[in-house]
Amino acid sequence: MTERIGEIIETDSFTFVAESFVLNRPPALGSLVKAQGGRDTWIYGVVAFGETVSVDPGRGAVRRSRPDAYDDAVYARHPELEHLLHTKFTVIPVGSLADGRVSQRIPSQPPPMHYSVYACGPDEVREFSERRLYLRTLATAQVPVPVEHVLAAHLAWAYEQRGRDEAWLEQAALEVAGLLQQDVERLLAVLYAVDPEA
Amino acid sequence: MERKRLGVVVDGSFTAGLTVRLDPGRSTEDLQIGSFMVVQGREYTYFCMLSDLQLRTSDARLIAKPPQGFTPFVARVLSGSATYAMAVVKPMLMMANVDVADPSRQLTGETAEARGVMSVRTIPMHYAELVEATEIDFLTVFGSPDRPNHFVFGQPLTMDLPICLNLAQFMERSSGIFGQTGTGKSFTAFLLLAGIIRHDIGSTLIFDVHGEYAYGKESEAKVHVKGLKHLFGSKVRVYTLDPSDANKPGRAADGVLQIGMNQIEPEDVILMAQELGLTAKASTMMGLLVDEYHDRWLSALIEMDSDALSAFCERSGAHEGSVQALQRDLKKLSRKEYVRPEMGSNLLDEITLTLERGQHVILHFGKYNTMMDYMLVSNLVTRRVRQRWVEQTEKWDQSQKSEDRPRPLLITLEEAHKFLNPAMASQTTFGTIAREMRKFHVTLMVIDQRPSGIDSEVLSQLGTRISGKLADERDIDAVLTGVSDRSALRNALASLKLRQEVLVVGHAVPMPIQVRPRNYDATFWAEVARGNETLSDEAREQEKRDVFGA
Repeated sequence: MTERIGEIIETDSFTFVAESFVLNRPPALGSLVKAQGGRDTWIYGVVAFGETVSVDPGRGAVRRSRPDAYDDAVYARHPELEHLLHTKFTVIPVGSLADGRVSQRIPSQPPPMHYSVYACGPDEVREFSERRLYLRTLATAQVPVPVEHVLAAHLAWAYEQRGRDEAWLEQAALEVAGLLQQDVERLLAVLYAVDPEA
Repeated sequence: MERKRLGVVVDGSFTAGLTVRLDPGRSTEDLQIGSFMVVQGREYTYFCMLSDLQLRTSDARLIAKPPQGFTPFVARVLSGSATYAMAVVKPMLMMANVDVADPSRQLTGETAEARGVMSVRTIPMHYAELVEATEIDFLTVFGSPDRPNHFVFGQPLTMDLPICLNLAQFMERSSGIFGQTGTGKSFTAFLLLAGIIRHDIGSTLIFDVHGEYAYGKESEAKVHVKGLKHLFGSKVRVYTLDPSDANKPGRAADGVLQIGMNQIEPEDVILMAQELGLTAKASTMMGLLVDEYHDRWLSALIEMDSDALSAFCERSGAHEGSVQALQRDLKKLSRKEYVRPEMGSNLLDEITLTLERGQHVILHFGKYNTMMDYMLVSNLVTRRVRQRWVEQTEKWDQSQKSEDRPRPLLITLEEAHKFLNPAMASQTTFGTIAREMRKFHVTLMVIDQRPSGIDSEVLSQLGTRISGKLADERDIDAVLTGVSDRSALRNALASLKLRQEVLVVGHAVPMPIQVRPRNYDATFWAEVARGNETLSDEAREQEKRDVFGA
C-alpha cells in the first residue's frame, strides 16, 4: 500500500478536495493520486490545485514574522498555526481501477467524504498512463485554474515517473496538441513547459 | 501484404477528389505529386493519383506569428497537430475489396476489367485510410508482364517494379509522344516500336526525318544505341530518298524511293504551301490544271512555255499571273533529284506490300531532310498506304474472313504539328487517319515537342498520350485535350523531371501513371533479340531481375 497523503473534505462527480496531512505540502501539481471509491474500486485523479488557507474562512491569516524570527521560526514560535491553518488540494478524477482493470472514464460515483487519498507509485503511473484518453478528460475539466498548466505539470511529472520515457512524452504531447490546436498560445505554453530538450 | 499508412480521408467530393489528412510524422516531402496511391474503403479499394499537397494550420496565429526558436521536440509535436498537411488524391479506378484477400485471382485477367478493376463510381466515407501502393496494387491495375501483349515500358517513379503497356490497345488508337527537347521522346518511341515489332502486334511505317530509327543514334550519354534494323534484321526494311545513302557500309537501304510528278497531287502541294510560298489562289489554279491534264498536271505545268501557259489560261479561264506564280513555285519541287517526270508505282507498291506482309518500313530522307521533302514524301506514301488499307478493310467487310482482316498499321510521324496543325489537319492524309482511320486499322504515333501546334480535334482523338515534361501552359493543355481529371494530371505533368520521367495517359493504361521509361540499352536489346514469346516463368523472373536489378 502506498502512502496516505490526505483526507477528502469536499467531493463531487468532477472534482474532489482533500486536506493534506502535512501543512504546506500538498502533493505535486499534476501528480497522479488515488482514493478508494468502494470495495475493490479505486478512483484515480490528477492534482489540479493546492492551497494553504485559514481553517476559519472568517479569519484570514495575518503576518506573524519579526525581523529576528521569520520563515520556520514563525512556526516554532506559534505551534497553534498547525491548527489554525490547513493545506488543501483539488483533484480531477480521470479514471478508475475496478476488478484489476484500469478504465479511463470518469468514475460513476464520487469518492466518499473523509476517505483517504494515496500517492501513486511509478508502476501504477506507468500502467495507468499507458493509454492516454484521460488527457482529454483533464483538458476539458471545469476547474478555476488554467488547465494547460495542469496538463503541462502532469506530462512533466509522469515523464519523470516513467523513467524519462521520451516516446511516451512525445505521443502525449501530440495528443495535447490535438486537444489544444485551436489555441496555439496555450498549446505552446504546454510544449515549452514539458520540452525535455530545452 | 501490409501497406504503409499515410493518412485518413477527412473531406472531399467525387469531382474534386479526396482530401486526406496526413498522419503525424508523415512529411509532404515523402510524397510526390502524380504518384499512384491506394485508399482503402469499406467496400472498395480505390486506386488514386496524388494531385495536390497542402499545408494547413489549425490556428491563424501560427501563420501570423510563427513560433521562434523552438526545439526539435516542439517542432515534431506541432508538425503533427497544429500545423499539418493535407493531400488531395483523385480516385481513378476501384475494385471490390473481396479480391484483395486473394492476390492470385487479381492477376489472372488480361485486362484491368478482367482483374476486377472498374472505373470509379463512388467515393469512400470519412476516415478511410490512404496507404502506399504495393507491388500487388501495381500489378492489379497495370498487369503483369507475362500477360499477352503486355510490354514492360518502365517503372513507377518511386518503386522498382514493372509497369506494363498493353501494346495491342496502344495500337488500336492513334497515340502521341510529347515533351520538351531532351525528355527522351525518341527513346520512348524506340522502346514502343521495338515492343510492337517483337510482340508482332502490327506493322509499322516510320518516317525517319532524322535518320535514327534504322541504325540508331548517339544518346545523350554519348553512347551509340542500336537501331531497329540492328535489332530485327530482315523484319525491318529501310528505304531512302538519297541514293548516296543506299550503299553506305553497314547501313544499306533496301530500296531507293523516287517520286513521279504523276504521283503528286494538289493535296501534297497545298500541304507545303508555306514552304513553297504559294498564294491563296494556287489551289484553284491546280484544280483547273487537274481538270485538263489529270495526273500529268504537274509535269504539264512545269513544261509549259509562256505561249502554252497563255493558251491554257485562255482555255480554262485561269488568271495568267497566278498560273505563272504557281509554275515558278512548283519548279522548286521539280528540281528535287528524287522527283521524276513520270514513275510507275512499283516501289510504292513494294512498300505497301512489305507492310501488308507484316514487315516494317523505315523511310530515310538522307540529305533531303528539309521539311518540304519530309512533308511531300510522307504524305504521298501515307496516302498510298491508306488507300490500300481502305481497300483491304472493304474486302474484309464483305468476306468477314479472318485471313482478310487487315493487319494493324502504326505510322510514326515526327514533327507532327507540320501535318496536323489546325490549318492542315483537315486536308492531309494524316489528319484523315487521326480522325477516322481507326476503323481501317491504321493509327498514327505522333511525336512532337509543341503539341499546342496540333489541331485540337486530332488531339482529342489520341488514345494514348505519353508526355515528358512540358513547360508551356498551352502545350500542357494540348496534351490533356479530351482527357478527364485534367487538373490532377496537369500537376502530375508539371512535376515531372526533365529527363527519364513521363506521364502515360489513355487507352493503353487503365489509369494515368508517371513512369520512368526503361533504358533503351544492351539489356533491352538482348531481351527483344531473343524474341522470347514462350519464356518459362523462371526465365521471365530472371529477365525481370536482369532488367530491374535483383
